[in-house]
Amino acid sequence: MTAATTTSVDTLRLLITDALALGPRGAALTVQSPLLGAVPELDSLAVAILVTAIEEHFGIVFDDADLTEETFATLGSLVQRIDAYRQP
Amino acid sequence: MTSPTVPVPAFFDGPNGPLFGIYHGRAEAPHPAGMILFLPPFAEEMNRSRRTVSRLAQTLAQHYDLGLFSLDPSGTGDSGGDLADASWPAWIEDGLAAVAAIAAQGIPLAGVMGLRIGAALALEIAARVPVPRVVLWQPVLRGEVLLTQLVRQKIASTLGQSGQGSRAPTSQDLHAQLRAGTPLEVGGYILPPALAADLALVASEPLLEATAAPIDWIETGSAPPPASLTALSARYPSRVTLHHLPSPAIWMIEETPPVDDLVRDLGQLWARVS
Repeated sequence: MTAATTTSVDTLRLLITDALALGPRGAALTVQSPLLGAVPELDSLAVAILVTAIEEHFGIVFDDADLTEETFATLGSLVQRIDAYRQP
Repeated sequence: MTSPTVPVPAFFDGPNGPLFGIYHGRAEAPHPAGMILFLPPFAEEMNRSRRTVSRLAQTLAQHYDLGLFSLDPSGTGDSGGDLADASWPAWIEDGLAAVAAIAAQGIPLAGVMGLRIGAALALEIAARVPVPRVVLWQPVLRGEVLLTQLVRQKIASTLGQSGQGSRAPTSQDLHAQLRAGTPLEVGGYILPPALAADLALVASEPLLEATAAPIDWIETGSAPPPASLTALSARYPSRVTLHHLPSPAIWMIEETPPVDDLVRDLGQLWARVS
């Protein structure tokens, strides 16, 4: 894992925990933790708002074509998607 | 010692049909010393924020004798009209009608507050009539941000459905559908194409300069506000005060989280004499 990815995992975990008010459940998320379908707070409205929060926080623009089950499958898959955007 | 409060529903005539709003007042004296006009967020965000807004209204009434008049714009909530006929200009008119209705009750207007896209509406109102104070709570000042969010919400709602990955609508499809005049169902609400077109054009940042009222801008994410935001308030130093009040996104979270700190902070903000 590159340093950038490590930063993204911690940051994204905090972002999601904060946005969805997950508390200790959020702090316990790892890269393997499933998101979509496993975190009940992550419904379609939350996904949409979270994407905006991710865009603002990381200074990226999310291509809606990347709004897929694969992207939101786990914390790790979402980090990978973000990192792919962050790489020039 | 806190006095009990009662909800005070109010129906009044608006330019686009009957309008509904609700505030809380002290049980023994429901007429508050001042009234804040509150403009709510849109659709499911309005739904999810109701309970917290109600809690805020009760606190403002109990501790500060301030009413928080939460208006349902035409076609939303309990107001008259169909969402299919809603428009941004109509909602501005509705807000102005609410200001007039409050004045007709002989209650001084303490200011206007808007949450999310309601903040853009609050600025539109403050640009047209004098208001003592504007509070923007996690404002969305560009309608296209909300429109993008609604389309993304639609796409997200199709995820996880049996092997439909390649058949899910694309963002381009959905935006094109709206532009072509077809309503879009999102999370149980039917987004009318005319309203979507209006939202695409809403860009309220210039209105920060269109009111003489002091503006309090509240950011609720726990991360420090982005540099773009601090830069924005620096552009309007005598008008906009940026407040960082980390608190739950109550317009997004279904189960109302504890919001005592937020409610207290907002109450104190409104109680401050400028």
